Amino acid sequence: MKITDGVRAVFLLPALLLTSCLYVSASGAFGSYIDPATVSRIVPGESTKGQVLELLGPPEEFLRSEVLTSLGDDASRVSGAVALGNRAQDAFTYQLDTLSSWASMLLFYNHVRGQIETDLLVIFFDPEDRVREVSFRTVSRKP
Amino acid sequence: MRCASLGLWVAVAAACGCTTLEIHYQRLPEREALASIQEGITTRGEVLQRLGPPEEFRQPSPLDRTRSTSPQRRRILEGGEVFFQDTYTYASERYRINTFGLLPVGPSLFRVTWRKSREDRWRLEFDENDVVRTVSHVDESVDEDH
Repeated sequence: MKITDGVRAVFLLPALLLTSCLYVSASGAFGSYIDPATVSRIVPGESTKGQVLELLGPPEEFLRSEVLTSLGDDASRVSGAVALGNRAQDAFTYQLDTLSSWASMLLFYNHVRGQIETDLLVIFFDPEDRVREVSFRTVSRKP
Repeated sequence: MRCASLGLWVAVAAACGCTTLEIHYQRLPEREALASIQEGITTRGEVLQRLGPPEEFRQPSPLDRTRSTSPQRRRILEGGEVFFQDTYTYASERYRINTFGLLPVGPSLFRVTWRKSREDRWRLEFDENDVVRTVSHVDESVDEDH
């Protein structure tokens, strides 16, 4: 049987596609996981700043040195300004940024998808260093 | 001859290849929660309870470097509410970049790219009594061809 170019193409193209198929999935996170159970132990009007620090550790405002990072770029300078604003208002911020992505690669078509989301917890204090308000937005699941 | 034929097929396949890159940044609060905010009635405390903390409190993370605009910078340009705390923003962005031709490397002569971005942004302004004064919603779509 003589194999024509057309028949060869019919077999060759799917073969090329199959041999170059690749699916990759990846995820990563910046920051610490914020446990909703721990957050629920913070009671507005009762919990103190010391108890918050004991439960959740130091907030974002104290994890970054604005002086050093501001030498980097505009984003860091703005970040410093935001942190300063938060501190002036006496609020603690806890943040977890998560990245989830996948990629499917074929010879003819590649599709890459990424999702970047943030869990954000902000705790406001009154002048007596008691928790005034707890605001929590979470999108991530347990690690 | 056979090798040349195979090479030709691979070259044609690569030249006809497509790439789609999609990136989703952040997620908006539930629609019901956003819809429950009423001008002149809802307080700042209720907003924080129902919607969670706004973008103003989010620190730019290393992942923010992948986006084309800096939300923090834009907010400062919009009026400095970061410092006055009289406006809260909730935003979600989506980018979709399609490339037709060779994979996203090599000379752009053989590549056509078009991108679409969409930003869904809610802004809540408060009055001096910490009550919501206005709720505005912006849904921006931008199409670009290269």
